[in-house]
Amino acid sequence: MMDSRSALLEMRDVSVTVRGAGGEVPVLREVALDVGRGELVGVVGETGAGKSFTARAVLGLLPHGARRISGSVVFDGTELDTPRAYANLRGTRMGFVPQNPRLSLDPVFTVGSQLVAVIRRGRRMSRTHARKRGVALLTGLGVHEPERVMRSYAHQLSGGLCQRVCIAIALANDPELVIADEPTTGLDVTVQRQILDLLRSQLVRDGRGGLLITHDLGVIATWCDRVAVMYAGRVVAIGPVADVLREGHPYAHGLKGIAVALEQGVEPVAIPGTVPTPGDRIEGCAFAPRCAVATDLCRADDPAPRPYGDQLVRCHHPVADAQLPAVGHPTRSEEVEV
Amino acid sequence: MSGEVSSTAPPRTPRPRRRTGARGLALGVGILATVLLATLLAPLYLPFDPLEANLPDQYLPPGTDGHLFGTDRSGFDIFSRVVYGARYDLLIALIAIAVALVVGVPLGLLAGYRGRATDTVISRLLDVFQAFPLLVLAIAVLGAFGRGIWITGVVIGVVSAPTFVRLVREQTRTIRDRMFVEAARCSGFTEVQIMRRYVLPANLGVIYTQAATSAAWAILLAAALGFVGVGVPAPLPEWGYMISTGTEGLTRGIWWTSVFPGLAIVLLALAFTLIGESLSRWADPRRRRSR
Amino acid sequence: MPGDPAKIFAGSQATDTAIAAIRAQFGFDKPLGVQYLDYLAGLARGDLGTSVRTGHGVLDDLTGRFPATIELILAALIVALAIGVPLGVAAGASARRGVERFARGVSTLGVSIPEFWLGLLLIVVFYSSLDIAPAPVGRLDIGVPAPDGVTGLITVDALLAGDLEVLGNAAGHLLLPALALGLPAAAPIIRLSAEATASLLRSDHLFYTRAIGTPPHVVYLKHVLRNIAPIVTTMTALIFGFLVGGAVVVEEVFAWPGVGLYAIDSLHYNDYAAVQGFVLLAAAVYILLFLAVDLVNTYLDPRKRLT
Repeated sequence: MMDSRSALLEMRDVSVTVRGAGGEVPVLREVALDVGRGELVGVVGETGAGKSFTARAVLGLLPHGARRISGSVVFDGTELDTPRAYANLRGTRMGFVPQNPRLSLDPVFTVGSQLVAVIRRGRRMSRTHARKRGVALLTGLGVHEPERVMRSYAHQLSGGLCQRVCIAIALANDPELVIADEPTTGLDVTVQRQILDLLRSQLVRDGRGGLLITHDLGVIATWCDRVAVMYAGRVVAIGPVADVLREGHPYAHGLKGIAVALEQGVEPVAIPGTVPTPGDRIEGCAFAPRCAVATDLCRADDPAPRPYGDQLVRCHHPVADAQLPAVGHPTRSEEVEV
Repeated sequence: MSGEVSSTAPPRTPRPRRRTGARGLALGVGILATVLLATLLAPLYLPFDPLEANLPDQYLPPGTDGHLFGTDRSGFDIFSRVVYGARYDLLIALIAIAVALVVGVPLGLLAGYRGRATDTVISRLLDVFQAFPLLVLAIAVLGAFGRGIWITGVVIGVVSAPTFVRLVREQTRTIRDRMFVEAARCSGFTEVQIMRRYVLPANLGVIYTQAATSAAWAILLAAALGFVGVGVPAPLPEWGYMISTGTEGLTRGIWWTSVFPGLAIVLLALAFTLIGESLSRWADPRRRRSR
Repeated sequence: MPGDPAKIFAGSQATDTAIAAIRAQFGFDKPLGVQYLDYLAGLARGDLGTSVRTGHGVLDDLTGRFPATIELILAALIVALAIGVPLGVAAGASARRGVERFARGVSTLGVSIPEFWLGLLLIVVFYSSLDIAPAPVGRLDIGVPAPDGVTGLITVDALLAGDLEVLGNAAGHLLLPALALGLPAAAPIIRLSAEATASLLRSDHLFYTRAIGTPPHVVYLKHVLRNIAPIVTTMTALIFGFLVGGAVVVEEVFAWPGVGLYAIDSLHYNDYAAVQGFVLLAAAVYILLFLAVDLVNTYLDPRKRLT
């Protein structure tokens, strides 16, 4: 566990609701996680688990209709409770790498002008000077012909190149924290590896913190130090990657089973049942209906976070490695598609 | 990479639900019904004949001697004329919509369903036609063919038709290749049968919506034509024409002659606009106008 | 065809021989088909025929009056954009229902008001009652000389000549007609820019722009405006048609000496060559405008440029 004093970012029981057809729908429920200096923390979960809302809550940019109803976000000891608190944070001390770089860069401005704008927001300097620094940044990120890239529009560049530009924008002002929201979706596997290597080396080298949001456990296992597993708007397990995937929360273990099966080319065993969607009525533990080891207690009482080894899990019956069926082999007759 | 938990994008915020527009619809229909009733029952309750001039009573301000809206240059009672005028403007709008539907819908269906050469010819014709501003075209045509309620309605209908052609064509193109149309084609229905049973019903939402919107345009266009003197002939109490004769005293402070007929135009156009807007939200809440 | 232009031109006292002479002069004695072919032949040579009312060539008449109409339409366009775009962006960006409802109400009302009647209302209020606007006749007070200038737009010419007195006078005359024509045209602009802004604010790139720390005023003044610019130019072209039509009636209301007033006066004299000339001019302007919009949008939207 990180010592809370040295934590760079801390989310304390953040709850977010969205205004929907039938009133306020919770999308984040008491989300708690922390990022220390020099570590990359992964956030993993299925669609609808609240990963993107977590990123947006940290950035203080919840969409229209969504609001934080409780909890706090603390960045380097300062509580971020008002828009003003964020004023000189984003783009300078807090970098952001988007999910779809080609759609995220503004299509009507050159990528260079967007990079220059961010650089000049960080420190006062002339346009020419900022341009030079932009070129240097791109060169440092392995971009060939940085001058040409600067003059291009997003639609003229490949996804991988756009993502390098976005990383340059994120790192332009030496941020202490970088939030990456599915940074490699839509990129091919080689480019994905390059981008993540780049991101990790840039972060860890200078003692910066990183929050990497993904639905890909493989990415987490390869590049992250710690992981927070989200389910139905909650962080159900958080801890060192190897620990979380080995034992503890049955859901995390189930995910690992699928990941390993896919890696081995074996037909994966899907976790039975479906993810609750925001707005579904949840009683007790949200995972209980799909859980192999659930008891009446699980169906009645929502578990509070409790330590389990180096992890923190929300589970009444955290399971040790030995108790769980071996991963990668079908154990049930009915198989559901992932 | 391995271990995809799910391959779809992260959640988007649900867009806030649009209002269904029931209130706007009720308001629009309410105004329309009231106007219709008022003008049809006019002979039963109006104290003055809208076509009876009374020169000594020229330019009486509103409220004098039972003239609710005052009188104009010829001593006509303005309230009576405004109420009667609704008949002509409504009739013109009705004729215009009927003409626009009869001309526009079949052409749109044909262009959208047949495609290829038919579509190209109709679309090019539309382009040429739409190069002319509507009002200008209507003025020119009416200038050449003379004046009257019917001819005004027909001309407005003809200049409104291209909008129907375009909308119906787009809608038809999107449904042309759907399964059920394909199935109907395979089971030996004729083209006309397919259009009547499958294609036309799918277009009704668009058609109703545009009909209401076009009715508002027709009211405004008829008034503008009356105002420049090529619409309904004098002395019929058409609102645009009333405003035009009413302007004579304007600079001397005689405002009621042109203000009240104008209010009537706004009220009726507003009613149709409200109905059109509500219908468009009802027909397709996600209908967006983009390039 | 109603009315005989030759009779009108000759006056009520004219003899039959005089009328016949006029008929021959304008070619009215020929069969209609031949008259039409003559007209087309003239058109090919750039000759729009002769106006029976003014006695001048229609092309000369139109060119002389065209700048007045252009000045009116441009001023109305400025009014419509200056009101429509900010209100539309505000409505599209606001999370509050009230703002959106207000904008929708304004635009619903806007499309239901006839321009000419709005012009009359403005005259009643600002000229007849408050007496702060100049008499609604023409482009300048009587006795004020029009400035020499290349554009023919009196306000611009006066500005170029540095004649502030004439500029003030011309602007005063221009204001009410421009409002009458421009206010109703703001309605569709409000609606379309609100929709464009709302969908823009849901876009990935606008979220990203904010996520990398772009301050709110830069987000709206730079990114939002620049992104909806192509939509605004397109709708400018669309409402241009309405403005040309509306200009005809507004010119009539304010005795504004443009091509619209010329067309209506000609109509009352059954002066067909003049009316046809006006319709052709309107169509030509319209086509040129759409061409211009395509060019401008290609410039504004890098995705449409060929590289």
